[in-house]
Amino acid sequence: MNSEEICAKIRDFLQTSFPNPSIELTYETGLLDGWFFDSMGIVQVVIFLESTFGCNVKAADVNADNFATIRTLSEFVMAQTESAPA
Amino acid sequence: MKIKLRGATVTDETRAEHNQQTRMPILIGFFVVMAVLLWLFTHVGTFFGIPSPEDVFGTFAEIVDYDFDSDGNVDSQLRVQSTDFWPDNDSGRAWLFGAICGAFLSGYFRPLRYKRPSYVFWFLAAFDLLYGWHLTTMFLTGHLFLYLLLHGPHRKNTELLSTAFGMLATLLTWVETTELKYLLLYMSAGGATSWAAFNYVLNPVLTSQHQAAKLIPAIAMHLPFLAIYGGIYYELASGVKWDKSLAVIIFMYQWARLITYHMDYRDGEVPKDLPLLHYLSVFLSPAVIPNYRYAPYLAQGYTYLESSFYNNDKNSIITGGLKLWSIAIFYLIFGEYIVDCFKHYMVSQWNVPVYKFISSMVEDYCDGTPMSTPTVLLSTICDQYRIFLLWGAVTHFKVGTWRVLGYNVDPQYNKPWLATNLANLWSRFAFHYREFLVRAVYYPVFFRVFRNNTSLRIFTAIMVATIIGNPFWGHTPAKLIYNGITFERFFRLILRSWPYYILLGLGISLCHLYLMRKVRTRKPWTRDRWFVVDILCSYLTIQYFSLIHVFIRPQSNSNLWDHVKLFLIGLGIHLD
Repeated sequence: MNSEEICAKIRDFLQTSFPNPSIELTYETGLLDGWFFDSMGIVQVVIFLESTFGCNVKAADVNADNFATIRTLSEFVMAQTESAPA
Repeated sequence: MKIKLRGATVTDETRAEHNQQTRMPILIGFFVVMAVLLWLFTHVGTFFGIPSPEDVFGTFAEIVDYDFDSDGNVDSQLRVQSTDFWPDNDSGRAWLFGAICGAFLSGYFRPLRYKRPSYVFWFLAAFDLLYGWHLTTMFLTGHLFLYLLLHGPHRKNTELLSTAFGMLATLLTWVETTELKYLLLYMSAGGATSWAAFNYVLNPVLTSQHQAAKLIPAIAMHLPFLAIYGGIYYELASGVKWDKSLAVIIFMYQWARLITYHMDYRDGEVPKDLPLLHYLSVFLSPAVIPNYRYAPYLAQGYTYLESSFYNNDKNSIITGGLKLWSIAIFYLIFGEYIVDCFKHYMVSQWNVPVYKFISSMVEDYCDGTPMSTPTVLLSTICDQYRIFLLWGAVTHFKVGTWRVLGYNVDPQYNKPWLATNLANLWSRFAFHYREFLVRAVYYPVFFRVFRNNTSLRIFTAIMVATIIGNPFWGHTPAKLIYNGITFERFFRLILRSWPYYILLGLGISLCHLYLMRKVRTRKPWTRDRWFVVDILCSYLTIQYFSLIHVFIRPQSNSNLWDHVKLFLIGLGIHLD
């Protein structure tokens, strides 16, 4: 799966789980600036990443670098899947 | 509302950009709102010969049956708590507002590097005026000790600080019983001992690879928290209640902030060589003085404050603070009045007795007064709205103060009546507390257990956070520190209230699991045909949350079965 496909899947998930017609959700939209309401939203994304992409998310991975935008989330997933044993 | 995760730092260059523009309307706005606060809640108006709020609005107040304070201004829940230095709260508030003005002016005009130190200065000045030098010095000495343990080994020239700590500690111990010449001698000895102990004993341990290097700071930062449970055990074992000084009480009320600071430190978010004044600015700000017992976790620890400080244009942050202050003023004036009106309306128009406090309802019920379902439902919701308005007022004021000082802190209360489910309510009702519990309890469980079963994983994490985290990390310190650390209080107020914590945990986790499975197509409160459902969900959410509070208001004449019966009456089941 390439970066664009991962981004698309994450965006679909976010739009379904946290519908917010007042914000146009692009791959660069700041997720921490209003898309997520609270840390429960973060938890849902963690579960989504684990179940969809097989990531192994740790507490330390929940940081502003990884959760800033769809693009950074996608980069995190790519890094996780690349480092995962075959 | 913006989530602030670890790593969301703001650079000094960005802050400098946000600090550039000085706007006169902002300054005028600040002083107008401050003048209103001073006029409404202090004696400053009388001092300057200005008509009091009662003089101005007395006739109108008589028509609507509004009660002013006996001195003609507005009675307020915004307080400088436990100060014996001033005859009434109005005087305490006046000094507090004065310190906030000083801190605001220092912060607004000065370069970035001077802002935080100036807030510490204004805190110390206000604290000294409100609580006296002895208590202020004790408070400062406590933080100096923690700073030395956490940052001392990574700073150069800590000889001076360790000596100062020893001298201050000795001064506080002997000042009231010893002559000056001996006191100076003792202080010198105390300073030298502290210097030697720190440099030759503690420092080598803290800089070693030994486990103690991590354990000592961890225990030190958890001391207020651990002392509560130590105090409960001590009282149970010996029957002697721990008689704490006010300085210790106020220091202990920083338990949540200390724990959060330590979590930031442990996760490598806090620079090890953080300057002392920067450390102190996390704990010593004029914003923590009003109602120090309310929401002590508000604004959290180092990382949260760091990512909030000047993260936006300062004028915009201050405007947000002034808005919150304005809402706080409205709530402070009308909060109690609105609840009283609702109560009287229900009695006069619908003949339904309503209690303003759940505790009074429980007491009357145990004394034999029969309760109807509408009385239980309306009284619990009435009490909850009273809390929304009064706690909302105080925490809005506190958050507003942080904002006026340039910290873009999220409101603790964010229109809780708009929550359409319990999971959402808990973050709208007590945002910072929830975030503290998530960090301290929820995440450690969530990232460790049942990783192959999503539902069980979430359920367990939420239940642990609400059944263990909520009472033991939050309610116990909040309810026991000031009023007495005794096993009887711990048992009556915490352990016997167990159904509340279970019902809250079940409610939140079931809502969360349901919402995860539900495909959502709209945002709540969108103006469409489902709007009525939002209203219904909002009522049911608040009503459920209010009703389970019957378990958390135990009275001396009530037992658990009485609370169960009242809860069931609320659901329409009468067992009497």
